[in-house]
Amino acid sequence: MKRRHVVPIAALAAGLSVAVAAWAQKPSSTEREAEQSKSTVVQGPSLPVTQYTLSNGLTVLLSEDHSLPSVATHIVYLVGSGHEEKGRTGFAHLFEHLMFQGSQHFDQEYFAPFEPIGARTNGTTNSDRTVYYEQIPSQFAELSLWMESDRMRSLLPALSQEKLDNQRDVVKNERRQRYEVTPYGMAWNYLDEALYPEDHPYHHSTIGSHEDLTNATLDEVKAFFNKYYVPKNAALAIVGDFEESSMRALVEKYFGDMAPGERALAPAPVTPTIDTPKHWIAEDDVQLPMVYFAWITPALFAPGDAELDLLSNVLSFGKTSRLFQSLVYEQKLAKDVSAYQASQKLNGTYVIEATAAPGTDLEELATALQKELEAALETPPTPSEMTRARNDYKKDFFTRLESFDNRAGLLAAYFLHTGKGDYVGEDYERYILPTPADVQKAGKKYLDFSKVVRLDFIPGKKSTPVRKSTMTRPQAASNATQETKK
Amino acid sequence: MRGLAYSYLALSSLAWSFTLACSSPKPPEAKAPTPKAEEPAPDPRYLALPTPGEAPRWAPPAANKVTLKNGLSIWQMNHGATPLVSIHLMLPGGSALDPKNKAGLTLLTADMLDEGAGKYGALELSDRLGELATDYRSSAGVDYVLLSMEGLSENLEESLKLLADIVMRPKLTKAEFDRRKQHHLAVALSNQDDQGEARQKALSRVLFGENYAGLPPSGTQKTLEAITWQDVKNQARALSVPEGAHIVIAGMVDEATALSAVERAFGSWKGKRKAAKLEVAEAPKGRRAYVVDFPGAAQSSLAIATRAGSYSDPNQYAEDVMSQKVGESFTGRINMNLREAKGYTYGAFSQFRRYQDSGYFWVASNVKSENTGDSIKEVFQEFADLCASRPLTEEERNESVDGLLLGYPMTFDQVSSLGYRLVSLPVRGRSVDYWTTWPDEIRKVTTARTNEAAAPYCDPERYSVIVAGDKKTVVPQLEKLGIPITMLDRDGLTAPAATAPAATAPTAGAVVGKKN
Repeated sequence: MKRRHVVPIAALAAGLSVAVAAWAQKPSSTEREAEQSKSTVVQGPSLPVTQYTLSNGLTVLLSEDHSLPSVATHIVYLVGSGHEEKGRTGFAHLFEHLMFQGSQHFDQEYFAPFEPIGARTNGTTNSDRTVYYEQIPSQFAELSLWMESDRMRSLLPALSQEKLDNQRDVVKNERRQRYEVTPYGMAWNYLDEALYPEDHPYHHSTIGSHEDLTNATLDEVKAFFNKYYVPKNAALAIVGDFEESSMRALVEKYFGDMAPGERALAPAPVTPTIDTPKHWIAEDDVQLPMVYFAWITPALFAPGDAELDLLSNVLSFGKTSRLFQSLVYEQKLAKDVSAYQASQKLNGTYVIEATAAPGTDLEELATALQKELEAALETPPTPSEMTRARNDYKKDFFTRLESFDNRAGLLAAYFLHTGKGDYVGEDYERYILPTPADVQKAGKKYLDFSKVVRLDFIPGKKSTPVRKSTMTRPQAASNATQETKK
Repeated sequence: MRGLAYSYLALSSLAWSFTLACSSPKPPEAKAPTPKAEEPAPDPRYLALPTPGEAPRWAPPAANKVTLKNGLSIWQMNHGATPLVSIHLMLPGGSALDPKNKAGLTLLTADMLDEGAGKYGALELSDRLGELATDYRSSAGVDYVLLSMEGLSENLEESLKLLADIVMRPKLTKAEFDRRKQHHLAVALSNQDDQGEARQKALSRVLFGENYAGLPPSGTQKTLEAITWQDVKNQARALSVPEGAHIVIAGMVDEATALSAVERAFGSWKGKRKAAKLEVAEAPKGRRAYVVDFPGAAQSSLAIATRAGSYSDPNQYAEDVMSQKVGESFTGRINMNLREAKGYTYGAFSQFRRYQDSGYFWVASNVKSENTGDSIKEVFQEFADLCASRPLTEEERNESVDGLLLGYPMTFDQVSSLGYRLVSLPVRGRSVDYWTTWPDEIRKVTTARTNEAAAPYCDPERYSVIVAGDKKTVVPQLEKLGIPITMLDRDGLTAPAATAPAATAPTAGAVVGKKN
């Protein structure tokens, strides 16, 4: 869609739907003055939080706000598809589905007590973690703790082969719907496979393969639960209309007596490098070819991460963004172009993707894209470009802190990535402090065509195997253009 | 990600739920474990689900409406503690106004309005919006065009000035027309790859023919090709009229600020709107399946649909309560059957979609290709049971009503959703106090009324079945069910005879008749 913000798309691609912060309550004028005096950041967002740990190691993050009669709960388990055993891709996510199939004291659909009170609940898995969440009318807030604690302590007595088989079918259909029948839907599966070596946690997709899903057993589900679904390996964030002292007591009542278990070892692979550029070609049932360029980049919150986000605005947000204006608006080679940093815990991935305009040869587009990116990185963002990029993030931080649900997700994400929930101020400053030179420097450092993975989607048959090759450093783009005419 | 497989767009996605004073909702009973001799006593914490606390007092924020002399109405709601504002300018007359051979004209016109306006060229206008951090976008529904902005409260005045330029002073140059037309053609081409798009085009065409609500708002290759620069200029002139238009401002902005800013920006806007008479086709008769071929597709994008009432249909409250339990919620009957019992799909849902002059009810799901026939059979079995062996129970009615009412406050937690909620009032022809009357309408729906509302939807003969999927896999399954088949192309038009299966005669297009 034209002129939509690229950041949420990037965040979604990495499963970090809550990775960008926002704003909590309007500070009083005194608070605001105090804040201004100690920082150049005007009207920065704030998200007050009380963080503590139960005796069994469960981290708790509480943030009280009585502006709406509702309570949002996010519980994050520090296990994702990055922890999966070889031959068991998709297991963490399949397990997430089983968490909705009933537990010892409520052996029914997890949704059943929530929908009749207008509450929302769901879960989501990515490479780094698994999150379960509820948003509930505040008079029912205890129900979320009752239900979450029951499945955390006693999922297994209610588990059965029949439930596993059913959810295996559901997940396979999720794979078909979200990846296989969606045009270009397999792009991230291929990109991760090309970017990361086989033993890297990000090499395989969170959804997994049909074969591995078929092979998952009930015993493995039980072992996974016992190892990862324990207080020490989790954090519970609660935001909204409650009194902190009462909520502390409730959390203790439902979670305090569980055996602590162990914090799972976080995968710590060596950050891979692409020594020789790769060029993969996939066929899909599509009319317009697409090209993706992808690079391995800094992790979420690491130096360079926010600079690359700001760069994305300069490259592809708005009609005068550098890649959009040159490739879409003026040369008309692309139907669309989008550049974004997908940030994750171990490292990020920077992606530039473009769909060819009808009649445009993909090679011509790819060559032009490379040339325009290299040219774009030769000059730092102008003052106007920096203003637009910063203002966009300023607004974005407000947007991301509007709802209790987003705030709870944000606290859980901050804890996952930094060990503390109180991080929104630091997060915000990452977008305000960089200079134009910093942004340019990050782009030049990481978006290097000698370390790139290129993926093409071309019209053809979905079932055709992906052609995988390496490429020599592409010629200077200006020369190559002449060789790749239609 | 688990869960809801469909995310319905903008207006139709709003759950019309409301306040807190409900009948007393009873969550399902927790199942007390059966203690065995050697096991410890049951955990007292988990013998029953917790008792809810006292229901908090809460009322939806008030909305205000005033109409300027030029006929532009201003809807305003000051709410929230975040310095954000959501703005929508609603112009009556949506894609239903497109000429039959020029589907996509209204959307293309709406899209063209910000390609240079007032003193700004297209690029300068984009930069100006960027400096303000105001996101702008245009969209077209069947009945309306929306020009929408999300931005910082402090930039309301400047944003409105740009919006006034966009709607009152668009440049509509030939160069920008050529560029955006090519883009819309490219999108239409790309959309042909998407099973969900093909299903939607076929559904509209089958239910509404080539009349009201039948044509795709984004057009097709053929209809977009036919659109000229002059067409767009004429359409823009027809749309850009204050009389009957509505501007909505929701978020952290006080009433006086909002009203004076709108008056300054739009007070000089002039023009009278011409009423358009739109014809609604007669509903299709007899059950029939329509197949759009996607060779080799792993799933079928399935819709089972029938015509329903418009925004003004008095049955809508009872129908909405009914739909919750049939399939609008995760634990609705259809999802529990197709997903949680059979594993045919990642999700299956039902919904009423309404327009000003008509509407439809549909069940939608992406199902594994091999399970297409069985999925259709199960849905029709659910319909049959609904009117025979398993009418909706008192408990189901209560769960549905309480779910709608108790969930209501949570839908007020973001300025963007407030904006859509507020603009849905003029879109649907509602009064400014609609949110205070709606809960009573829902509460009044009895179990008997719920089942009366369900009755017409149990008849399988009124449904059209649309399948965008692999013809080779799907057609034999449909034949086994005895449902006659018509092949459609990816624009929802009757496919050439050579590709249609033998034994069936195409009777797709509906004819013009009275309004539903």
